[in-house]
Amino acid sequence: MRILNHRLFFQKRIEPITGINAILFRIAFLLFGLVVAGLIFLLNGVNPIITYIDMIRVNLLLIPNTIARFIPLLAIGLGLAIPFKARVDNIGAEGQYIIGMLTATGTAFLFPDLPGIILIPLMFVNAFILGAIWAIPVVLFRAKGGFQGADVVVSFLLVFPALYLMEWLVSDLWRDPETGFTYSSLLPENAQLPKIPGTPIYISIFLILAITLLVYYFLFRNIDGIPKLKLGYEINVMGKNPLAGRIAGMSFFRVILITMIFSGGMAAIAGVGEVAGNALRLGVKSQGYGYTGIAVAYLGGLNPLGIIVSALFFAALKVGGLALTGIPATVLQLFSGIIIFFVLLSEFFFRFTIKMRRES
Amino acid sequence: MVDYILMFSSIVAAATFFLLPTLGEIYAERSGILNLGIEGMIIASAAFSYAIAYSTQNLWIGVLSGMLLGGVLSGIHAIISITFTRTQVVSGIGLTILGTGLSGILGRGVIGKAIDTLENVHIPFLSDIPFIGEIFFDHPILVYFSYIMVPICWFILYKTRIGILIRSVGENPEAAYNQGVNVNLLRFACVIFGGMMSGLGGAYLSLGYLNFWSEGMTQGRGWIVIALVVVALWNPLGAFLGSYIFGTFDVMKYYFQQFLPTPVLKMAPHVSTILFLAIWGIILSRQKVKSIVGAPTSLAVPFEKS
Repeated sequence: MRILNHRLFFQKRIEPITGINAILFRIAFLLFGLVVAGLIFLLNGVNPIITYIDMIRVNLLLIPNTIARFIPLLAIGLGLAIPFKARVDNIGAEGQYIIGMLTATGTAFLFPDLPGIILIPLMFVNAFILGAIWAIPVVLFRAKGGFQGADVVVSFLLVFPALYLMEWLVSDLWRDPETGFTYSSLLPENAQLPKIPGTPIYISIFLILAITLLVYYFLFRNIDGIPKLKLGYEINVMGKNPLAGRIAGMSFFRVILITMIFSGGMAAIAGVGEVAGNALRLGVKSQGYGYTGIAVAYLGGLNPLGIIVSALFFAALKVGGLALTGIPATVLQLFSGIIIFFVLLSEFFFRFTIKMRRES
Repeated sequence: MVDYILMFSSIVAAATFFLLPTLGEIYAERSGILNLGIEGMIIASAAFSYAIAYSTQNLWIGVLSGMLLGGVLSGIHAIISITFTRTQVVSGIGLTILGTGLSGILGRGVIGKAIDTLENVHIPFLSDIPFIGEIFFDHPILVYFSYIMVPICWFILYKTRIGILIRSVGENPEAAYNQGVNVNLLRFACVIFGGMMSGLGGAYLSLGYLNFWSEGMTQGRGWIVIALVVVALWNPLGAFLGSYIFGTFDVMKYYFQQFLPTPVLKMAPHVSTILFLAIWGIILSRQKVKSIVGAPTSLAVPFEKS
């Protein structure tokens, strides 16, 4: 690009930015993203500075709520990061999450008399299995789809059958007989997840945090540049150079199958928490966590520890959204979109810088 | 008794919504750029064109601003994926999420508000043909525009110099670059053309087809467009055929209402697209078929000038 008689061009850095500098870089780009979102607010006649301060204030008042929102975002974000790392672009977490909600509700209504100590684990297991099954078509299309982006398209299209299935069940089979509104009746008491007393934080936070740390320990933490499990190494290779992996005898299909089963299952587990821990009944609309989860995974740098931080950040945005007046709820997606772009840009500048040269 | 003329005519109306963005996306993908942000561009420009048309009371300013927004949004994708050589898949997903978020803000003032939308234009002679005239030539002008665009897009892509350049850039950008073709400029132009066609599709959705604006009104049909490009084998004529097939799926759900519950019928377009893609995927996974069809080889591969 040319400005007056100066020429702007990109130059490769001698050493790419890594480690703590990369984190600082990411935060700087995140702030740029917030500025851009602020500009969009400004164009809509909303003062961004007051808005941001309000959002922070709401979060400080409602810290337990922020943590409760953080649970599903962490589960979905973590579940997405692993297939993303293996270059499987599952963007249908929303569908798998809805399937999780449906399964939890269905299990609770089928066995209302089981004691909670059996029923609740059963809900989680069933949801994990069905969520994983809902993700299987993505694997088939990724491996045999025949064209670029098949997995993306199919994973997204699978959201809608799940959504309409929920709509159907809620308006027909499971409709609340007492009020007649289009939501299900309350889950039986033994199916409701216990909460930390006095807060809306339900117990699946421990399960999901434990899974996050285990995933970090076994798949992501590098000892001499190699993760502890062979699978972690295979995921890395498949993401960076699938051809090399294939020559080395790795089964691409097996790797993406495992990553997608995990991904679908985690999204479904988030759904269980949402219906059995938060809403306590199935509604007709979904919260859109599945889409936000994509941004959570990328902002976290596809690393479990980073995802914990970025899930907290997005949970804070979600709760801060309560403070917004005159801006619709889709604003969270606006933030997510802008942040994805800035994360992509920051990755470019890990390896390149902009230089200016005078030209005569 | 089913009113066949109404049924076929609504298939044409539904198919146009698929056809306009598909033509644009074919150009983008032929030049080697996969733009997964169609859904976002469509929904944002549907909201924007409706809002602008409502506030200015001028439909054509609304349509034009929808096109413009589509172009601007695809420009973001172009900058990220061409100038900064980032993954097109992620950038496209980001664009979809961004567009969905933007649509809520742009359209918040006009939810549930009615305006006079695009009128059906009567074409002398053509509209008077019995049956065919009533089905194909009793629509808003954007539908006629889509008829004209199919042969034009096909002609430019296959019979002109610029079309050959576009296809060669999508096939082998290094070779084209060494021949002195400005790869990035050509790709930018194609992506922005695709964005403008998507914007036009969005404007048609809210101003000519459904005639209202509500959040999430596209119901994921933008993704069907991406599937359509593949079904059309990256050929504008195929896009015409494919759009009408998917338009039929889209309309059929209204005609089976007495047999099946509505939510099940609503799944029909998405489920049929997945099944269609499964069949097509098996066919296209053979390298030989791919080369006969002429699928762009360098699709979604970032081009870094050495």
